[in-house]
Parts: sequence; C-alpha cells; structure tokens
Amino acid sequence: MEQDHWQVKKLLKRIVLSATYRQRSETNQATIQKDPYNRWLSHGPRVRLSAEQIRDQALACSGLLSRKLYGPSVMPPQPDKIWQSPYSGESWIVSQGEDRYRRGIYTYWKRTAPYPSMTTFDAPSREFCQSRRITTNTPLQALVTLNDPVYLEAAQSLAQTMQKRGKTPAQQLRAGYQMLTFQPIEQPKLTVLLGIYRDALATFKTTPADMDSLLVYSRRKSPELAALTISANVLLNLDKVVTKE
Amino acid sequence: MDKLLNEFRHIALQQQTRRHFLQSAGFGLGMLGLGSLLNACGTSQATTAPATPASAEKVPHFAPKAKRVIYIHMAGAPSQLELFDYKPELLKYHGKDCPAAFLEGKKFAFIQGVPKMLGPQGTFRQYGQSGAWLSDYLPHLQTVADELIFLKAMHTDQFNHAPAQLLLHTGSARLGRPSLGAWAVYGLGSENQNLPGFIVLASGGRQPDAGKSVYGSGFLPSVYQGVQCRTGGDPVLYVTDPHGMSRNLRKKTIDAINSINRQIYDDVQDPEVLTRISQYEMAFRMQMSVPEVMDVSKEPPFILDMYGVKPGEGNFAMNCLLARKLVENDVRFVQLFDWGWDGHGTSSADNVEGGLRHKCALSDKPVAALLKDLKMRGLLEETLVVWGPNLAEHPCRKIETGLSCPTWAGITIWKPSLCGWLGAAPEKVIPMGKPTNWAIMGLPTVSMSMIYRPPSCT
Repeated sequence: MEQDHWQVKKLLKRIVLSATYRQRSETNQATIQKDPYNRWLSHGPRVRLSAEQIRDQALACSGLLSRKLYGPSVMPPQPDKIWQSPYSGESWIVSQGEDRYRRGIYTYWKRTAPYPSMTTFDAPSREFCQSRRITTNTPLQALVTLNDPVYLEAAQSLAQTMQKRGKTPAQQLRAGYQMLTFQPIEQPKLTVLLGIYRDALATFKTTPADMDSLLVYSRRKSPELAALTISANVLLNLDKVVTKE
Repeated sequence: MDKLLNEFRHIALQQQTRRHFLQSAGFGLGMLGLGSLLNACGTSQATTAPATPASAEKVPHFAPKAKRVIYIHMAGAPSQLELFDYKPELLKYHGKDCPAAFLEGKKFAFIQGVPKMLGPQGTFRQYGQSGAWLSDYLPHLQTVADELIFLKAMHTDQFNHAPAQLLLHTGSARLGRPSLGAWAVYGLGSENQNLPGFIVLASGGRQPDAGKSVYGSGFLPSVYQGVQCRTGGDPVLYVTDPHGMSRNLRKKTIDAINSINRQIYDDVQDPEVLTRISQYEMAFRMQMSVPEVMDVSKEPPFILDMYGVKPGEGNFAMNCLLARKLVENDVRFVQLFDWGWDGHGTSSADNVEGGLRHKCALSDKPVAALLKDLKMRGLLEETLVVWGPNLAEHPCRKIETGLSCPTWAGITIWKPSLCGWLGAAPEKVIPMGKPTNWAIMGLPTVSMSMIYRPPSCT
C-alpha cells in the first residue's frame, strides 16, 4: 500500500497481475500434502459459478445470449405451476424472440416464487438481505443442467455452432470444449466425447423419431446434429464448465 | 476396480481436508458411512447391490435403536406455555405488572418499561398413563401422549431466529458447521442408494430464516448436505429426460460426464469434483425413485384422511405424510421445516389465540397421524421423531398493544427454555425421560463432535 501511495486501484492492479492471482487451479498430491487448505496459495481457487453465471454462460457459448440492455424484466421458460397466485391472476407468460435469451439479471423475480433453476443453484429468494451465498452441490443441480429445456436449447444451439467450426466430429468436439473452457482438450477427454458422440449417432440413426423429438428447436434435423447435441449436453455439464478456475 | 480406486482417493482426500478433531474419527463410523453413500459413485456396478462397507464390524459399543430421524422444526417460537409447559402459578399474575424481581438488571428485546404478565390461555389437562400436561391447542397430540418424551431443559443463547436455527441444527450460531442430518448421514451412511440420505421438505410459505446452512454440510464433504424436495406439484423439477433421450442414452451421457470429471479431479484434486460425480449418479437414480416415493395418490383413503391431505396439495400435512414414505424407504434423515410460528402478538394473526391456534390446527392432526402411522407400520420402534422450535416464549404481554386480544412478546427471550418432544425414544411413558444415545441429538447446545466421535477413537 505504501509503495503505491495508498492508491487502492494500484493495489488491485498489482494483485490481479500477480503470478499468485493468475496461477492455475491445477495441483497435485505433493502440493496438497504441503498445503492442504491452500493457506500458502499454492494453487488457484476453484469456485462454482453463480446461478446467473451458469445460465448466462450456457447462453453465451451457444450463441443464444441477447446483448440487449435495460428494459423491463423478461420471462424465460420455466416449468408450469411455479407461479401460483390464486388472488392476483398473474401468470408467467414466456417471453418471445430475443427476450427469451436475456442475461439472468433480467429474469422476472417474484419473491414467493423465484425462478426455480436459479434457486437450485443457490440464488437467494431476495426476501431479505444475504451477505453471501452458500454454494451447494446437489443432484438437483445436475438435473437442471441435464434436463432443463433452457439448457437443452443451449446444447442444440451449441451443436450447430460446433458443426460450423469443424468438419469431423473430433474437430467439432474440440471446438466445443475450447469455447466452454478456453483450454484445448486433452486426448483422453476427447476419446470419451467421441465415444458418446458415436453411441448417440448410432442410436439416432436407428430411431429417427427420437431424433425429431430431441431437435425441437431446429429446422434442419440430422442424426449428426442430434448426436452433437447430446455431446454438447455432456459438455455443458462438465465440472470445469460450471466452475471458475 | 475404478470404484475401489475412487473410494480410496476419497478416503485419502478426507484425511487431507478434515479438520483436526475429525481426523481421528476418519476410520470409524465416518468411513462406514462414506463407503455406503459413495459406493455408487463409480462405474456401472453402481446400480447393483450395495457393497458391504469395509469397516462394517466397527459398530458402537451400544446398539443404537433409532435408525432414522424425522426432525419436525417449527421455525419460530410456538409458545411452550400454551402447549406443553403448564404454569398454573402464572394465572395469578395474569394481567398484572411483571414483578420487578424478574426484570431487574435484565434486558428484553421488544419490551420497554414494565410489561404485563400473560397467564395460560389454553385449557390444560393430563393425558395418557404418563400424565403429560397438554393443552386444548393440541387435541390430536393428546391421543398419542404416551409416545412422547418432553425435554423441557432446552435453552439457547440466541434471540434472533436465524442464528437460533443455526445453533439448533448445527451446534453453532455461526455459519460453517455441519447440520444434524449431514452428521447422521456422514456417521451412519445411507441405506437407500436411490434416494439422498438427507431430504428436506419446507412448508409455511417461506424457507427457514437461516437459509440452506441449516441443512448444509459445513466442513464435511458436500455430498452429505440435505437435498430439498418440493411439495405440491413435481417433487423435483427437471426430473424427466428431454424428449428423444432414452434412459439408456441418458445413462451413457452421465457415464461420459463422470468419466471426464474424474480426469478433471486428477488434475485439480478438488473434492467438490468427487461430490459432483456422485451427485450425477444420484440424479440419475432419483429420476426413477423420487416420482415413485413422492406419489401419494396410491395411499389408501383412510391414510389421507388421517393426515388430512388430498393428493396434489403442498403443505405441512403433506410433508408429514411424505416424511413417513421417505423413512419407509430408508431415508436416513428427513427434515421438515414449517415457517410461521413467530408470535409477536401484534395482531390476531400472530397472537396466542389467533395465530398460534391456527398453526396448531394445521399441524396437530398430521403430526399425531405421523406418529400413529409410523407405529402402525412398526417404524416408530426405530425412527426418532423430534419436534421443536428454535426459540421459546416468555410470559410477558406487550403493554403497548390493546387489551382486546391476549398478546405475546414474541421472540423476546432471555435464556428461554426450548421444549421438544421425542418419539420412539427408549424409555417412553416418562414425560421428562432421560434421552439416550440418539435422543440426545435434539440438544442444541451439546457439541456434535462429542456425540459422533466413535468410542474406539476416544
């Protein structure tokens, strides 16, 4: 502080540019032995993304996110019967067009019936002030990113983007991983992704009806796109994707 | 082999991250619990019969009687003076100024000057062979009086709801310690591999004041935290696979996710990744098991009448019925929260004659039904039912409110006595029985680490 003449901005800059702040989260047994609680900052922390970030990231990476600023709150898809307002006749009317894909902070918030997928990821109900969010790790969160139509639509859109980024499945999956994690994929991980891609492709080739019902959001349907959608669903659920490293 | 490796990695990690005092417990009950809870977090063998935990022979010196817990938490302060704690002496002071001796040198929140005293408003009688005192606020509970043990020696040093709830459920008024349910699943494992070992159901229109921390895992691995299910409508959202995705394909996607996540774990050594792996396995199995166990439409009409519920409702009564169904399916710890027991006496909605009677009317019947239902099925023998609030009431009425309705000075407790009753405790028919082994869990002020430390490590 003294060196920087008590300027907070300079201090912050020094912190964020330091090697300690910028180091990777990766670590190994030997380091863990010496610094089990990371008290000596031997590696970067890992923090699960917040509820809004997880949704925004899925939309952004799949190319769906709307950049529109300001304006009234929007109502992206949510399950039926979340809003039960016997006295007011209010109802959740799903927004159309780009309002479906606005950032999480624009999501309409009703304190007695908050947006369910966000509360699952520990967003507070906003009934009163909360000084910090407790991060949980539950099977209910898995079900959101696996099955919520919002994430399925994102997976489908991500699959379409991946198709444009590569010719072979390997290239496409490589591109998808890179877009979500900003890291090149290692071979063993790619092998797993290729495995699920091939399994899905074989399935959809034999059951075209399943392919049609999976690809509800796209006009052009093909077993390849369906298989890539399944792979994108896998990608969006990886620990690395929902965690800030 | 993968499964074994994974377990081993988990165990190694446990020893690295566990706080010092828990390290010694790591080889006892903890491993036993972990083994059974996580034995599914592995490969395709997961869905076959649960593996026998390696340390199965390490049971405590005493044979624990209770295998499951239903903790019914009334968030707020249902007045013990109107329900269980008969104080005839107080009648003499009714409407009079609070004697100076009670107030001298003390401070009460919300109370200024000299408050008036409030005598018991309910009509008390003794019930059952035990002669337990119960008021007419609880007509149904009277019929099961002999199943109950009353603990009238509870006290807390917190006078706000959120910290009081934290203290009660985690043993500390500050954040960061594991909740009772998390401890129970950590110590004893889960008997049903297809459902979370610790399930939370909330009613009363709001979540507990202290938020998710009251059923959190604190410093224990996050796999032990409570999983909250919804009541009324779908118990768990997004439980069905997308159209066009078969169960088989879903299984394969989860295997792929977990396979890559295991590689990520190798890189980062973060225990949260292991939790995530087992939660994805659990999510897959919950997709089948939860809709089934939470479906009350197949319950016979007399059971529904007993609880006073209709299929599709989401309320406290429904949660009591679901609690029975969950323990029947070997869920280790079921935590119910019912919000709205905070009586400040500022209006007829939250005084003892209005608000408290109303809350009792909604909850008395289902709670009694739960005990009867459990007993009928032989489950009460091994299920500990705990009922209790986070604060209690003192017998002062606010002087600033009108005299038209009896008022109650809400949460303004200085060293209040918390009262709770326990079912299925070993020495029943004793109104103030000495709690043994599991029963002692109800005490908020007892250090949890003392309770759960296996005898072999002391």
